[in-house]
Amino acid sequence: MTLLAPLFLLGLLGIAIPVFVHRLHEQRAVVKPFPSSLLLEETRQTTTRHRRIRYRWLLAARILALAVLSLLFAEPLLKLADELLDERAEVHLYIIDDSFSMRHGERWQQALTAADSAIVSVSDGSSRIFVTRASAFNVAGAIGNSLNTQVNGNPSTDAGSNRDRHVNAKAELDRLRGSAPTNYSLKFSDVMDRAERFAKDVETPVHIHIFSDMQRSAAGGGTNKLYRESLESVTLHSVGERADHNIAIEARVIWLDETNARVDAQVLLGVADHSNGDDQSGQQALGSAERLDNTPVGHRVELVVLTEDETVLARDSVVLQPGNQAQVQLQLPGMDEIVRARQLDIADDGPVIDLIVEVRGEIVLSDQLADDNQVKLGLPQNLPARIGILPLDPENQQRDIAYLQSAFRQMHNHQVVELDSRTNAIEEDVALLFVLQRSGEVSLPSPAVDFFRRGGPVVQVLAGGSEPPVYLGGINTNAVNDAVTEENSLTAFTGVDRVVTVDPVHPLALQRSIWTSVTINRPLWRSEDLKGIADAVSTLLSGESSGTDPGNDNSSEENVFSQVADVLVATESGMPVILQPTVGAGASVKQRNSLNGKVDVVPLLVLMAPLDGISSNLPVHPVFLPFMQSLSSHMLQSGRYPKRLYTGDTLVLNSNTQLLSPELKPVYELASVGSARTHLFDSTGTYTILEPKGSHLIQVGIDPAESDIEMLSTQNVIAWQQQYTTDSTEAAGDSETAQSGDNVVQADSVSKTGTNDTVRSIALWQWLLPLLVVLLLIESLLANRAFTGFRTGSA
Amino acid sequence: MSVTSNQNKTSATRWIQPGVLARLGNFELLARTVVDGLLTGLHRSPHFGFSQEFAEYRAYNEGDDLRHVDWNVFARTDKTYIKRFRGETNTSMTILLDASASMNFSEGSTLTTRSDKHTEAITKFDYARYLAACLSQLAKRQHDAVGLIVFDDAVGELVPPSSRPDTLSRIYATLERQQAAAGTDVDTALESLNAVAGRRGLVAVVSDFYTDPAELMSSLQPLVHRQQDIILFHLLTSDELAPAYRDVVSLQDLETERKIDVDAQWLNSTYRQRIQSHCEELETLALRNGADYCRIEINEPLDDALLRYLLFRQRKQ
Repeated sequence: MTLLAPLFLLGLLGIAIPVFVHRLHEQRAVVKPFPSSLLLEETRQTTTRHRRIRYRWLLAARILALAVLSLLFAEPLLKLADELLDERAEVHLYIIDDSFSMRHGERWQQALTAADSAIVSVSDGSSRIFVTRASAFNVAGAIGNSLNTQVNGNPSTDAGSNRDRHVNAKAELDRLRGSAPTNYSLKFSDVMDRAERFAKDVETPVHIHIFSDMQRSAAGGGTNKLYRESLESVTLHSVGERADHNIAIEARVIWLDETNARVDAQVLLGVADHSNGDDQSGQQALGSAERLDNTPVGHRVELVVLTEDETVLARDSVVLQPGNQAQVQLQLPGMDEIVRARQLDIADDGPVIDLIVEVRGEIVLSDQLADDNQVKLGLPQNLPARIGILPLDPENQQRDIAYLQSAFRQMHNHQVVELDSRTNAIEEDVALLFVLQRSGEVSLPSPAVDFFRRGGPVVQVLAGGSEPPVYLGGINTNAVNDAVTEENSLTAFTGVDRVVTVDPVHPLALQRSIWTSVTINRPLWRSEDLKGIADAVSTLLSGESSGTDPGNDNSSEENVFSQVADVLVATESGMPVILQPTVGAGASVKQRNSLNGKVDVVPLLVLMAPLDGISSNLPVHPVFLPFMQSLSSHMLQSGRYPKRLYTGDTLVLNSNTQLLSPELKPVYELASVGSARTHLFDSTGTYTILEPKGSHLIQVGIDPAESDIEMLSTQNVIAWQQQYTTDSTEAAGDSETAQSGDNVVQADSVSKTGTNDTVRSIALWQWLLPLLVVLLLIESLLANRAFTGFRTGSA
Repeated sequence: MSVTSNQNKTSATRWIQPGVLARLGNFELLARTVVDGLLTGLHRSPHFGFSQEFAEYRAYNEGDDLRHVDWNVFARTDKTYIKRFRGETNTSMTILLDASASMNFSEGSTLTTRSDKHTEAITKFDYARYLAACLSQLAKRQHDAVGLIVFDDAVGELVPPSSRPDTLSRIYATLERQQAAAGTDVDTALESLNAVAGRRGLVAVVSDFYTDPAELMSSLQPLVHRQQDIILFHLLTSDELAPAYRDVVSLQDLETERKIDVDAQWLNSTYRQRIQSHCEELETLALRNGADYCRIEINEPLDDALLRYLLFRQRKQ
């Protein structure tokens, strides 16, 4: 007999309650007067015996009722005799999901606990094999066999006694408890493929037990059909709860107007509950989207709009806020060409919707959004006005626009409006103006100048020619000082890869008032990685400017920086970092990359006032040096190596290249550094690549597939079972149960007719439930009788 | 002579239930009510046994008292006959009343659960006092001298047997102020009676007799030898004869306050046998020693006990 939920057997402890009650009640001695003790005799022994057990039949009925109730909750399954005869030949394969999402909450421990319960319920004659790192399908250990047994091996049940196997199983689970889930993702399709191959190799009945948090990402790729013919059973033990799911970034983008070359698709973020691969319409997907209540605050989500052939149409990011639906306006360039190329049919009964693209999401976990990953921009809170965004290159600045919109979305009394670049005037109710300038000379357009002359503050956002852009800010220094002092977030200016500068010239209209701060979340770069930069900056600021050496390229375009501004900061490789141009002027600089010989666009920080101590007191401000450090760290990023990788990715390291772990410890021995090698990144963090010509930082994030850690819906799990039932025409007497609300999905109650090795498990609750009712009836009768007798007796 | 009939007994005893009598509160009234009711139900019995009542004639023999010769018959027939009367042998009755604590035991809830809501639970001592009062009343009707000895573990109050009119009032007053307490010592009471009983008479012992029957009989022997007619009224309750407990119960001796834990099973089996044997031994030894034994459950009407007494009285004549 197998128990699906053996933990409920703990309810047997409740038997002590009626026993205690019976004994407690008995201990009350009833004293009655009697005329004489002449004819009486003490019957102490009899009394003691009766005190131990009183109303024995009633007590027995109650104990049995509790036992049956506990057994009922434990969901026993009775295996048929023919299966029991062949039980020793069975192999139970316990696949424990150790993907990244299993780190969430207590899922890992829950999975191990569930596995611990499951191995007890299996008969001693069976082999038990534990498998972790489900994607790679490595055998973590085998019970009754060598711990090094490979999946493709034939597990033996001969070695070791049953007791030893049990002990080994416990030891193996204890060993797993000491470990942690990996950063890999899990695909049920891979798991089942490998399990099927394993089952064919071992030539014995194989039962699969999967302990997983059942993410939807793991169910992708058409793996709806979990059951395989070669497997005797597949039992899904779902750990975790739906309540602790994170967020699903999956929605449909509907192309609404086939005649418009510019398609503005509205992406609705949320838990879009639709099955994989179905043709659910976009309207339904939108309609079923849920709120983002479970979204961690401040998560930044990268959105990538793909066509069916994986063509990237657009990408953007949005910072998710709790309780709100994040709507992002995505511009999908080239959609019309796609439509025309594919000659998509327009529905006969309507002009809309034939193209459905997929939106994939990525979540940057909140615990990595530390203070050093934020830029705080001081804004007066009592300025209920519109904030204008004036993109000078709208075609290429949609991401910047969305970025700013997401940053200001949490300020309810500010309305962010996108202004047309062709406008001649800016409305008076616009209180703050952001000018987005992608590249070229930094100058205010005429509407911005007019706005500025009216006294309105202008923030220039220079989207440089490279990724990422450089932001220029225009906020009163004293006001910023007050703001950051109030927020106690001076460190917010450190470690950023985007830069906000302050304009000390213009007192602006932002007088001293109630300040609030806008937190702008950016990808993480740690300030600890900026070794040596502070020294360089200090050297430059002390007047020992090293000048620039952009290389052998004599192109005037590449040396433009030296013509328009003084170089204030340069990197160790001579790359200019800080220029000091005239007010209102700026430039982006191109420089030949010494590594690959290509000409890169160098992002520049352009200060809108000279650092002469007259126009600005910025150099003596305490925040200036950390600010410069942050700026320099950003400038150091080279294009040689990717800035961002994910766990599971590999990178070819050249010879004489050392890799430092996130803890700044060398990954490779010196002896192996001399040759090129491929490194597999299996943990997150910021890695440092040390080369003879400099260092590079690589941010390794979690597996993108694991970012979507929403639990599989119960309906989907049930759908799996139903699909199997539909496909398996040979199945007879299938009684698979998909128990919504429970964490176990039992799929093994399927027998294959016509074979002798029938596996049939019979749920016993049909018998236990009437038995429980009968016991309760007996208990009631006995209790009534005892109660009546008690009244009579006590009289 | 017929003593009673069932139908008349039923109508008569309906008014003398012990619970009802307990509400009268006056022993004299109680005794008259019971005795009158009893004698009314006996048909010819109101004058039965009275002295000077004609019984028979017999031929005169030499030595007979000439005062008993019926001269009227001699004048008509010229023969001498002696006229005989039944009540010519007046006697003395002494009532020994047990006032030990064990007599304070009542029927428990037995009486209160009856359909007759007016009845009250009375103790054995109450019943014993009613019985003593009734016996005294009955003795007075027969012009017998009557006395009372109240005892527990010692002799309490003593009213010597007398046929004086105020004796009955003294007995009633004595009965009213008695309370059951202390232990039981029948022997001491019998020794005291032995000291004051000078001639033949009747001795009625009212008790629950929680004592050794053999010792009791040895104490009765001197009285028997002095031609005292002895009747033992053994008062019991149904709870004593058949205790109705379902569980283990701690029984507390009313005299010694000792607690004994016994279980219902033992009470239902062994104890019942013991109390039955005790009663049978008492009866056997009493009969063997010429005494009469009358076991009474206190929920029975008083006239049953009184009839037993009258029968005993008749038998002893």
